[in-house]
Amino acid sequence: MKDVITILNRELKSYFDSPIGYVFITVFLVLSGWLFYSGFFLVNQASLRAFFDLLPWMYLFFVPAVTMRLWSEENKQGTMELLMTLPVRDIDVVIGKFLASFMFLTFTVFLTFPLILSVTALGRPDMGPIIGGYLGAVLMGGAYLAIGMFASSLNENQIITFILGVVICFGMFIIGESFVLMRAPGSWVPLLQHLGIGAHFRSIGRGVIDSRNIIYYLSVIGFFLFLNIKALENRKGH
Amino acid sequence: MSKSSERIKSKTMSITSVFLVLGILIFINLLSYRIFYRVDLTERKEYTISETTRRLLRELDDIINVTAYFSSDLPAYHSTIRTQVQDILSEFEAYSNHNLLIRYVDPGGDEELKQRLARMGIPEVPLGEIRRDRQVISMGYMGISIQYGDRGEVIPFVPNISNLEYDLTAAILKVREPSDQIVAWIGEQTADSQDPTAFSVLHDELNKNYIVRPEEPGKLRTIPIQTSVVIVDGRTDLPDRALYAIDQYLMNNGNVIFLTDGVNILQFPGLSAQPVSQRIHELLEYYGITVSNTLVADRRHAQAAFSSGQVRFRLPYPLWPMIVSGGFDPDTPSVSQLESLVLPWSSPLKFESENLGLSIRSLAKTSDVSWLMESPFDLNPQQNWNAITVDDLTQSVLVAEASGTMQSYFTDKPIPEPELGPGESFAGPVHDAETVYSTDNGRFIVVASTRFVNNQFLQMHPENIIFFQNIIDSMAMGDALIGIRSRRVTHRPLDFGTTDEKEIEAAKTRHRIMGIAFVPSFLIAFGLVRSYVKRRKKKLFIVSE
Repeated sequence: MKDVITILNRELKSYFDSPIGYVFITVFLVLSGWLFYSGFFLVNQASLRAFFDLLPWMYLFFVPAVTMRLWSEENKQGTMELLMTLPVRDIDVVIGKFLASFMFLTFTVFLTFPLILSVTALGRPDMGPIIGGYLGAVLMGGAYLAIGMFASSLNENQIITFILGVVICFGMFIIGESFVLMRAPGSWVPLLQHLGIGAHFRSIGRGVIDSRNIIYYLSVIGFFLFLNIKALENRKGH
Repeated sequence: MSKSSERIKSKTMSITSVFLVLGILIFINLLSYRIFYRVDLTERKEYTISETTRRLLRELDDIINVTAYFSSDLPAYHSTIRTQVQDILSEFEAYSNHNLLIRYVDPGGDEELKQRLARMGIPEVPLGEIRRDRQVISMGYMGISIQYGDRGEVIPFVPNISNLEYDLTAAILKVREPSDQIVAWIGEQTADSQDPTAFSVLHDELNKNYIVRPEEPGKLRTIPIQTSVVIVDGRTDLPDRALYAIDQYLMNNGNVIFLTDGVNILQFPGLSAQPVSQRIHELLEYYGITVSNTLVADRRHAQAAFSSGQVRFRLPYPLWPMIVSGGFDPDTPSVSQLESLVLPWSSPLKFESENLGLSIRSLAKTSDVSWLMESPFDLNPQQNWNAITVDDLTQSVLVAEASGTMQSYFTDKPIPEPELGPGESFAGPVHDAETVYSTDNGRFIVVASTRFVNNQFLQMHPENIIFFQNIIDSMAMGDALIGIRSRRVTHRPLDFGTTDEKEIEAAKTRHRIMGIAFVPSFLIAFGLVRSYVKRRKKKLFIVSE
């Protein structure tokens, strides 16, 4: 646990020691805010639904951008070998890095709080879907991060890992969307629906916290972190 | 052991462990569909079955069979609905103390069952899907039957779950206490679903729970007292005998909903308006409610679609007032939970709260930033709506309910004879000797718009049907089922706290700036200060070294 916290602190600090973290948060907030307000007054509803509808698509590019450097940066700076030889378990390193990026993403998402202030100042929103939306955003972000981290562990080049992360995340998202479901054989639909990342987010985003959605996200996170550990072990083996 | 065989062993173990973990996770996820827990955080528990339904289910003292007939190979979208239906049915089952037996049946290729379902009223419906980039139609079942002894009800097709709780609860109520409730619709009869001014969409909805009986005003002689609710479509005036039939139905404790306009709007060839005076207005005035010949405009309004040549555009239109939660009577269950209602080109209703024993109250009124427009009417959506002073502002009642002691409109008037066609004779049950001149339990509702539930407006404002169904249900069945339907209405408009367009624009800009730029600028400033402090510390360290 101590090792996890040490790695978490080191990683978390690295986000704010370089301009990358600030640029990431600024671009995310400006883009999400701008897209949200472009329709908010037109729709004239006290709801954050437009923001949450955008989120899976924004995550597709922003989350792999956070994770692409997680392992590649270690390679670039030559600290990967050092990390491998330290007396820390692979699982601690993976969890430490994941938690750091998870906390960074969660912090970023919660910095969208002025949107909540806007809808509550101008109307009487139902807080259920807002709470559910943020919880879903955090869980979905965790799933995307785990996938992105795994992608980052597969290659040393940051651009390749970014593209790989986007492709895998997009694949996991699109399989549960109507675009694919409408073309899939009927018997496959329930399975694809369950596997799709976006459908679970929408379900929680209604304001209904369902154990099935939480178990799904924890499973995706767990599985890809496990693959990440295996990828590290594999690298050590070489 | 050689290095290569060790590597192979390690890789095999690694792959095995990945599949093992995957298997465990799949098992946990499958299990999660059998044992799950949900917390509904929405304000009105929109995704949890209502207390009304729970009470009804708890009170069941005998077995009711609910069979969901869903094809196993439904297209993607409809397959989602099957899962949602299962969730709702399992909740129903949980609250029923084992008195609700739920079964899921796939009619598949069972021809005998298919024929039986067709006889029951559950059809095999065409469902669209895309296969290999082509739109194809496949056939499937998505219906539910509710059976209690030899009594049965069906929900022939479940296209979505928005009304499923209501439909199931109503069906359970019906099989337990069967009654075929009749709603009489007095007015011009147009059943054309393509006609925007017709009421076919509304009639289809009402037909799900009631027997809707159309009545031609010219042929109306009497209204049987068994009729649950009478709706008077005020687009055309009524002959004397129809007025008499309505009056007598009210005197026999019937329930009437009057839809009426104080101003007649002609949409073709151009938009124009004329004050209208009808016999229904005289009847209502006698009962205590005056329909004004003015139009209500409201700062809280809907947008209207207009066309100019080939171009179609939407504009804010104050002559389509939107009544929101604060405008509904909080003490009337049929409207208290509603969030919006749009009453286009409506006229205010004027009344005293007490009229010779008849108690009259507002069910829906405009906002406090509404005003009246008098003849000649300017209906142009692009007129200057800001030329209104505070003194012009006045709230208007657009829906009113009257109940209590009523005197017949025909107390000191001759009883109108039925207008008979050539060769017709009349021996109706209500004639002079049976005329009832007063009642202690009269009840009627007046809605100051005839258009709000026509095909065109229901397409633009589907929430209007909830209001209309609620008031019909409250008259026909009491308020038992109201809570279920109202929970589905979600409309939460923004309120800028001002009517001044400039102030509203300024508020929008303020919110945009705060929402988009406030946190990023604070963050950038923080980053710059942090970077400066770090650099300075580093510099000091080098100097001290």
